[in-house]
Amino acid sequence: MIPARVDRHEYDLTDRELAAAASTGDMRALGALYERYAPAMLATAYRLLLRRQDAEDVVHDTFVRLPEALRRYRDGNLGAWLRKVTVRMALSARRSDANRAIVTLDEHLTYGSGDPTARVALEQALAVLNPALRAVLVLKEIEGFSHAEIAELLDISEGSSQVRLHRALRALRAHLEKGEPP
Amino acid sequence: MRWFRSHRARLDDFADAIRPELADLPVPAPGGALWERIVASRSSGVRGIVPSISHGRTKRRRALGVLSVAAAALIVALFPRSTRRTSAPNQSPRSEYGILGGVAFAQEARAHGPTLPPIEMTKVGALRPTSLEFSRRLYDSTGRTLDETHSTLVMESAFIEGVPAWRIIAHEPRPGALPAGAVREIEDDTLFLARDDLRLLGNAIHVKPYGRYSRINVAQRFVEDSILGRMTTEGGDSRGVGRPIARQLQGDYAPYVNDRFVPMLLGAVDVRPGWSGSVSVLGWAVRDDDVFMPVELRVVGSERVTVPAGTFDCWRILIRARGRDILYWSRKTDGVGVRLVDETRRGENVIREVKLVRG
Repeated sequence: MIPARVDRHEYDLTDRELAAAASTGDMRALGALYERYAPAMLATAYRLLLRRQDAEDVVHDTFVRLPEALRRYRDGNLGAWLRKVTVRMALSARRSDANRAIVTLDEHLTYGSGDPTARVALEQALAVLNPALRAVLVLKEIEGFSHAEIAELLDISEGSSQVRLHRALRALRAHLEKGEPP
Repeated sequence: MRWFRSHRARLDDFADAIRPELADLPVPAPGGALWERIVASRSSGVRGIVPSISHGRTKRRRALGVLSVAAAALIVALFPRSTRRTSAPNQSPRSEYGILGGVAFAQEARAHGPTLPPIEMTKVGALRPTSLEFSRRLYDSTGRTLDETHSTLVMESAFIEGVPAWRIIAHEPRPGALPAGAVREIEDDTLFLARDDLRLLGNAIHVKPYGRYSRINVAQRFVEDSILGRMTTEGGDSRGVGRPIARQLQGDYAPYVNDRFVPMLLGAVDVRPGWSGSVSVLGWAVRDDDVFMPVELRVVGSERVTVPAGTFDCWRILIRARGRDILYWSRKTDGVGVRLVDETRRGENVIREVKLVRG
């Protein structure tokens, strides 16, 4: 999917070149970054928020603010930085929307190979997991962040991150094995 | 304790088993509608800030910061100032060469566009291969010569990626008085312009030495309305550095030309009494304040000028750039610049005069 008039040369540019161009308001460069990173960002936001609309809002807000943010961005792994920004934005959105407590499964999502029943059960187990535990579980087991990174993102200690992961796994296992609410 | 280990081991097994299942859970894909929302929000002026994300562990950064300060203090203590100075005072990558020289430090466009209409290069077919040599003299108000250098400029036919082009090869020592024992910087440029409309195609700049580096390279290519490329440095007393170049050029300030082409520029323009126009001179585009410089040109007279290359009937042209006025004489027969006098060099008592020596 090509989001905008992204020319061939944008595909050839490095992250730093695209970031430099996007920071000046170049929408084609921003579009190239969108194509390069929006899928992973949307996936991360979705796993944390479990609502497509909320996840899209996070990606939208991030990209709308990105040109200005890139002016202050220093060299580093742009993809990793964007993922962390996404996590922070998603967690912030979750906190501001904590009272809504709506969890929906998007019907349009298609399941790949494997047992769809088991996957639905896993989704439901995730959906009813305590959000604080779910965040650590998602960040550690799916997104691959280290406990140190999770601690920084969630503003907790590394020990708390480890404890939350332990509890999340235990609750998830209990739910899946016995149908027990986590 | 044994129970805990066993329990923990079983949970780890569960984590290993569930990890691929979690990763395989379906997630939505971003669609065109989301991008359109983003574009619409940007267009309507929506802005904001993103959360601050550190680039590493705080403790490590602090340690590095302390180490950096300590290293800097050690350098200051061990090396006297005179030995830290390099041959060139300017170590920040930017353009300082060419016919307009120091005035062509380009900078981002002002809030308003050019006040004069863009120059129209209607005589591109009139350009011919040429070989020019210029002298560049710096002197003070008493006439005392401070520095004198010679530069060469060759414009020849070429092809680049199948496109008929002009290749302009420039060789120029850095103008300016040198500190004792310093090595003069030499800049070699190779610029390509499309022959049919003089649009910029590519530019390779090499300056050696450059500050504390043995060499700096700036590679530019021009794609639609953008300059893309990379700056790299080599050798010297520090690890080489590199910076990407990706700049969008505003349409309001077109046409854009390279300073190396300026001495031939008016050969492609129908200059007449009372003529005026604006053009933007590109810089290296590495720094934010060196992307392009809007320049205004006005014919203010007609004059016969004698320079080392001969005596020529010329247009006397006032160039206004960044609030500075420069006098420029362009040969009527082919538009080649034969003389330039810049009396306002950064408020210093230095007059810069460029003369055509050959060509």
